[in-house]
Amino acid sequence: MSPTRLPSDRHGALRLLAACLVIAGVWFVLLPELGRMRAVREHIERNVRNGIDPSAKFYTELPGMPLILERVDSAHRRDGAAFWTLPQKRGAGQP
Amino acid sequence: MSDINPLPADPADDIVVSQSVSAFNCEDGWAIWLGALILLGSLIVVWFSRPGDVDRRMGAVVDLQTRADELAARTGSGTKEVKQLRAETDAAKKKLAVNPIAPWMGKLNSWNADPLKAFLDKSGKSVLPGLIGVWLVSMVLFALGRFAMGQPIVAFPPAFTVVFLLAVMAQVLAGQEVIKYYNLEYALWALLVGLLICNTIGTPMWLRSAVQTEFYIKTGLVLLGAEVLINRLLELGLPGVLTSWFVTPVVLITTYLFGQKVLRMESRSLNMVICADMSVCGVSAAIATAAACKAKKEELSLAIGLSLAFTVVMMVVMPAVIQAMGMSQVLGGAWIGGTIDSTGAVAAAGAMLGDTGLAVAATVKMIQNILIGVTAFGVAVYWVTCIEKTPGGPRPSLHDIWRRFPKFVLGFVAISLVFSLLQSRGLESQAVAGTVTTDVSSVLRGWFFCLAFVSIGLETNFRELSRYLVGGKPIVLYVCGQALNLALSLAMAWLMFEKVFPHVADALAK
Repeated sequence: MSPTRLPSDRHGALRLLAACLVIAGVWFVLLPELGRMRAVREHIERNVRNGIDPSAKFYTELPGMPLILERVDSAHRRDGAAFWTLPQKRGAGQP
Repeated sequence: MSDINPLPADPADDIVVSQSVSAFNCEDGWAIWLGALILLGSLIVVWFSRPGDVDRRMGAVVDLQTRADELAARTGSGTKEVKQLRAETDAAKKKLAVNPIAPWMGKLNSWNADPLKAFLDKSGKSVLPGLIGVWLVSMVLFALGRFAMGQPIVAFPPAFTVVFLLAVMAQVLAGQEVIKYYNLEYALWALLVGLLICNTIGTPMWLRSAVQTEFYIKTGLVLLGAEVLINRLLELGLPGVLTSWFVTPVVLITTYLFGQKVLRMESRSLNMVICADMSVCGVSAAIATAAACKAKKEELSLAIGLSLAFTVVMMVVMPAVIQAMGMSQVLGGAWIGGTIDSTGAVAAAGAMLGDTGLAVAATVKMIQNILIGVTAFGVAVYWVTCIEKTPGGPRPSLHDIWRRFPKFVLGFVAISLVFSLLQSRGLESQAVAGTVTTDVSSVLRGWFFCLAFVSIGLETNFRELSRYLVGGKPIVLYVCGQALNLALSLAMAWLMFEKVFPHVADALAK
């Protein structure tokens, strides 16, 4: 690999400038417009309400994960057998 | 590196480069030392900052938990009152430990039209002190590591500062709300920022001392160990374990064999990285596996690009298909959790089914997340014992295996075990370890990975990247593997959550 391959300085700088302009156009004009569309806005707001960061790479990056785990832990505390016992072995008295 | 890889063999292309001085005074060793130093230092600070009335606070947590459980048993988990009580429980848990380091560990916020909002937190306070903290800590630690390994450090601080600013730029791009909504993670934008510079004006020589892809990735992975909690494995009982831990390895191994035997992939490491990111959990699994099997940087970039592209499609299509087929939220959530690569996209897709769908999808994915440790360890062992041995030669001795083994994987596994133990030893210990991972290690790990992807971009040119796509084999591999994943995950989730353990659905809905 040639990590420091040097294109001619002027052409390189012009290409970088062009790329920066494209990025600025997309990020400062196009995406904010998309973000104002009702359907997209609703989804974004629902994600925020539910503590969801769609770009999370690991469960610890999800802001809502502690509440989800609290809910699952609560189910364990109330009916832990449901997670481990086959229905026929749970006994007639249990739901 | 693969023995059948036809691409030019340049050790500097590998994610893992041997720069061994001794077993633990090398890049792998220093990744472990730095990771351990960050975690141990944070644990000590947080432990000695515990509030004086911690017993009373723990009592309040237990009381809130009991009230939420009783109310959920009467009214179901979906009511506003139960959700409110659970939010109060979570807030009370967070008050069990105080982290004085947290304000110095900054990450950027999301924004829509004004990028400057990325530099404000939710309460409107500037995150600049936190960014300065991350920059300073990272620069000092990596400079220390380089110094200990006998590498020059005079040029490092200015070069690191520029690479860090590029990482900040990538995080700003990734923080745009629509970009976030479509799960286009910072890895992609960090790569883009680096590629733009390398392929236009070229990467200046003076910047190269801070282009340390391997060092950043390995240190980030050691920190990730603190978030891989083995005790979370049993969160959904037997159905959760079987859905995540049975299907995932079967898909990973079958797809890898398909890639080698049927598609005849030229690069084993590319095959393995694509299989891991498709079957385990996207970008984070790709990074861990690439480091364990010594994949090339371009291979990691390609695998991540593939994963993100398919994730965007799956997070939109799967909830629609599930609803059209009339599946239950539990079954649909388990299917989404077992198949969509990225954790954030799983949660977003699960939420489209409802609260229970979100809970099951995110929990199944979390159990799969834990597989990262086992996958990285297994792949590293397989690589040093089977792939790197001389063809036709004797089996490698234990000494050979130890010499070639990527040592940082041991640090990753050891830290995972230590934090699993801490997180399972009662509320107080859980709160202390929890705040260290949430406020320190997770933040730094994110920045280290971002620095790594900027570095990859700064060392890669477009033409080399496109060579890997010739013939379309990586795409065929991904599509075939994901098809198998979709079929097996659905079959297992249906069997477990609908047939064998149907009461799990009731227990979670209540």
